[in-house]
Amino acid sequence: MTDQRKTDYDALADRLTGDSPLEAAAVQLGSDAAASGRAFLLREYGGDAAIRQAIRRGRPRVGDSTPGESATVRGRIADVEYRAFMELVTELGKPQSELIREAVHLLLEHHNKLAS
Amino acid sequence: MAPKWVGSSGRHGIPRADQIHAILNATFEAELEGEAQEGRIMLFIGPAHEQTDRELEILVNDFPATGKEAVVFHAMTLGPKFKRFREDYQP
Repeated sequence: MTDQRKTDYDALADRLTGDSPLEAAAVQLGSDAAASGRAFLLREYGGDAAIRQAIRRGRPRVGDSTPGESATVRGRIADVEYRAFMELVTELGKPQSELIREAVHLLLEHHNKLAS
Repeated sequence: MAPKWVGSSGRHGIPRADQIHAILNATFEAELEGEAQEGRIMLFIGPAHEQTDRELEILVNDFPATGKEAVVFHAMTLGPKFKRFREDYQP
C-alpha cells in the first residue's frame, strides 16, 4: 500500500529554499543554538562517541584508512591563477581537492621531499 | 540510530561531516512554522568546520519523542534567503 503521508523531500527543499515566505515558531541563537543542535544529534546518535564517529566517517582520511581527519593546508592565490585553475578543474572533470593534492605531490617531488 | 540523509541533502556537495559539524556548532536554529507534513522542520545555521567562517544552512525533518529517525534533506552554503531570515530574528 502506498504511504500517502510520505514526504517528497526534493519538493520540500525546493519550496523552503525558493521564494515562499517563512515564519519561525521558535528560534535559538548563539550558544543556545549550539546546545540545541548538540541535543538533537545526541538524541539521534545516542552519544558523543557516535557523533565523533559519524564525523570521521563523513570525512575520511586521504591516502590511508587510519581514522581521523586528514591534514589540511590553506593558502590564497591570485585571481588569474584561480581562473586558470578552475578552467583546469572543468577540463579534467576532477574535484579541486584532488588537483590540489596532485599539485602538492608534484611540488614535493620537485624538491625531493617525498620519502623513498 | 542516526539521522537519515536523503538525496536532496547532497545536491550542493556538502560533505556529511561538515553538515554534522554545522549542526553541532550551530549559531542559529529555528523551527519553521507550519512547514512539516509530520514532525517539525528545523533550520540549523553553523560553520562547516573549525578552519572556516563559511556557514552552512541545514534543513532537517525532526520527529521528537516518536523514536523515528530525523531526515536531513537540505545542506548548502548559507544563501541570501536564510541570511535574511536570520537577520529578521536577531535581537
